[in-house]
Amino acid sequence: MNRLPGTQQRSARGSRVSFERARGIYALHVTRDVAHARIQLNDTDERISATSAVLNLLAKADIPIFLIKLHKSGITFALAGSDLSRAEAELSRLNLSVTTRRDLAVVAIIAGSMREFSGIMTDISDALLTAGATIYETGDSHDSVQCLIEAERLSDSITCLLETFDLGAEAVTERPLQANSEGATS
Amino acid sequence: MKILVQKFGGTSVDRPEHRTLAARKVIQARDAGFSPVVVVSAIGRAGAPYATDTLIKFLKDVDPQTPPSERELDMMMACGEIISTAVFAQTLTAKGCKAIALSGGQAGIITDPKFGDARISEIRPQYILRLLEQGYIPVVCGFQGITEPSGDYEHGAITTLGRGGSDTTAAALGVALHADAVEIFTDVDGIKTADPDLVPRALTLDSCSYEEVAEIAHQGAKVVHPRAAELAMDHNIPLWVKSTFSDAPGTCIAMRDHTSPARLTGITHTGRAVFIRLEIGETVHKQQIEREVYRMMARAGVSIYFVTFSSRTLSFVVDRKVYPIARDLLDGMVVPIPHEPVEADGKVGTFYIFKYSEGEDLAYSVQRPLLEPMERSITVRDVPATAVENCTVVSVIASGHRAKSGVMARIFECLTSAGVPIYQTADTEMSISFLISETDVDRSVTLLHGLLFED
Repeated sequence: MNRLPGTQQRSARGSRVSFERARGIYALHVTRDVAHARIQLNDTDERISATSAVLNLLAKADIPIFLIKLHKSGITFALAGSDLSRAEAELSRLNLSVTTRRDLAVVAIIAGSMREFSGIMTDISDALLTAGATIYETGDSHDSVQCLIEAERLSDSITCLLETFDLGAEAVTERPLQANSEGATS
Repeated sequence: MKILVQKFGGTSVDRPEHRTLAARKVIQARDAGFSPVVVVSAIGRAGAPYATDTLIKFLKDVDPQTPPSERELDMMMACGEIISTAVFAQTLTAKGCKAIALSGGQAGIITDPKFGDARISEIRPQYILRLLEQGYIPVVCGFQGITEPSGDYEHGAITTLGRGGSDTTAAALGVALHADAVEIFTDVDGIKTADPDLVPRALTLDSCSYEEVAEIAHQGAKVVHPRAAELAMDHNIPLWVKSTFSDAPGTCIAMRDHTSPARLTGITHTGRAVFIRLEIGETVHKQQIEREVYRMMARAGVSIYFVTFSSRTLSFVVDRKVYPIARDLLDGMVVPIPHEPVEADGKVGTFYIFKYSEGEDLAYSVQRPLLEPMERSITVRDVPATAVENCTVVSVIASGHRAKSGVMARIFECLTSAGVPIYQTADTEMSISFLISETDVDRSVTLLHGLLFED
C-alpha cells in the first residue's frame, strides 16, 4: 500500500515562523535640524516660471529640498537646517518674498498601506495639537504621514503620538537627513 | 536541501501551452538540483471562467439584492486557486513529476480571521518539508489560508489575503521554508522602468532593492505585490521577477546597499483621483476647521492624501470612487466655532459653511438661508470649495533623492514646459509624485522616461 504523502520523518527545518507586518501604524521616524521656506509668488502668470527658477536655483546651488508643495500663491518646502543660510542667500537673488523658519523637525508616522485607512490624519492632528505642536507642512505616501513641527515640541509630540497609536518607545527611530550623494543615476 | 519557491500568475497558467511553459520552469529548477515548491494563482484574468472576479460575480449573481458575506466570498474566491492548483499539479504529473496539490490550509498557512484581507500570522511548514523529502513537488494555492481556534472565531475557516495575495503566499513560504530564493513568474521579463504599454522603450532592471520594488508596487506597477516585497525584505529572502515565456534572466530584488548613490528606478502611475481645495481663509480657527474636515472624512471612511495646507487653504486628494461621498459631506458642512469670551460686537461665534461651486452646492444653497436669522449673534463665513476631477498620480521612484539636489527641478521643468499642469506634489525618501490630469498621463510618463532614462 502506498503511504500517504508526507507521513515520513520530520525535519529540523520545520520550525514555526511568525511574520507579516501588522496593520496600521507601527513606527515613528524622527528627523531633526530641519528648516522650512515659503516663497510668495503673487503673479499667477509668472508662477510656473518663478517656481521653476526657484527649483533650478537651489539645484545649481546643490541644496536638496523636500516636502515640496505648490500653492496658488507660492511654493513651500523643507530643507536641512544647515543649508538654510545658504538657501536664503541664493534665493535673495531672485527678488522674491521669502520667509523661513528654522529649528523644526519632521516626525513621520509609518504604517503599512496607509491609504487603506481613514482617520489617521485626525488622530495625528489631535495628538500634535495635544502636544501643543504647530504643523508647518505635511507630506504623505502609501506608508507614511510626515509632519513638520517645532523641534521644541518634538518630545511631547512623540509622547502623544506613541500614546495615540499605542506604541512603545522602541518604535521611534532617528533618521538623519542623508548626506549628499554622488548624484542620481539612471 | 536547496528549496526554490516558484510562483506563477494567472496568465502563466491560463492555457495548456502556458502551463507547459510554466511546468518547464519547475522541471528546470528540479534538474538544477532545487526542490521546487510551486504557488499558483487562479487561472486567467477577469472574465476567464475560473478567475477570481468571475467567481465573485457568480456568487453575487445569486441575488444582486443580497450581498454575500465576506466569509462566503472568501470560500468562493479560494476555489479559483484550488482549481488552478489541481490542474497544475496534474500538468506536472503528466510530465513525469511527482506533484501534489495543496490548499493554503494544507500547506500550513495560518491567518488572522479578517476575511478578504487576512494577514498571515504563521506558517507551519512541516508537511511541505516532509513532502519535499519524499521527492514531491508541492503545488500550493496562492492567496489563501485558514484560521485556527482562538476566542470567538471558527477553526479552519478559509480566508483570502487580498489582491496580490499569491505573491504574498510565495514570499511567506520562502521565509518559512528558508528557501534559497523566491521566483515570481509573470508575463513580463522583469521589473521595468515604466509601463511598457506606455513606453515601449522601457528598460528591464537587472536588480533593485526591496524598498524600491515595494515603492514601485505601491505607486502603481503591478509586477510584485508590496506585501510580498516587504516580507522578503523583513526576512532577507532573494526575490526574482521573471517571465514564464522567455529565458531572460529577470530582475533580482535584494537588500539595498545604503552606501550606494541616489538612484532612479522607474516611473509609475496610479489612481483615479479628485483634487479638492478648500479656501478657509486666514483665521486663527483654521487648525480646528481642518480637524473637523479630517474627522468628517474619517467618519465616512474616506481616505485623504496629498494633504497640503497654506495659511489660507487646505487641499487634499480622494479616490474618485468616494468623491461623491466627500462632496456630499463637504457641501453645506458647518463648523461652528464659539467665541470665548463673546466678542465686543456681541457675536457669540463664527459658523464656517462649505460651499461648492455653482451646480454642486445643493446642500449649501438650502442651508445657507437658514443661518441668516442667526447672523445678529453669529458671524457666518463661506468656505469656497473647488474640485479638479479626473486626476491621477505619476511617481518617479528615486531612492536617496532627498540628499540630491535637482531631481525635482528637472522633473518640474520637463512637465511644465510641455504644458502639463501639476496640481500638487508629494515626496518621500523613495519617490516624488505629481498629481496631474488623467489626460496627460501617457505624455508625462513618456516625457519623464525620456528625460530620466534615455538621455
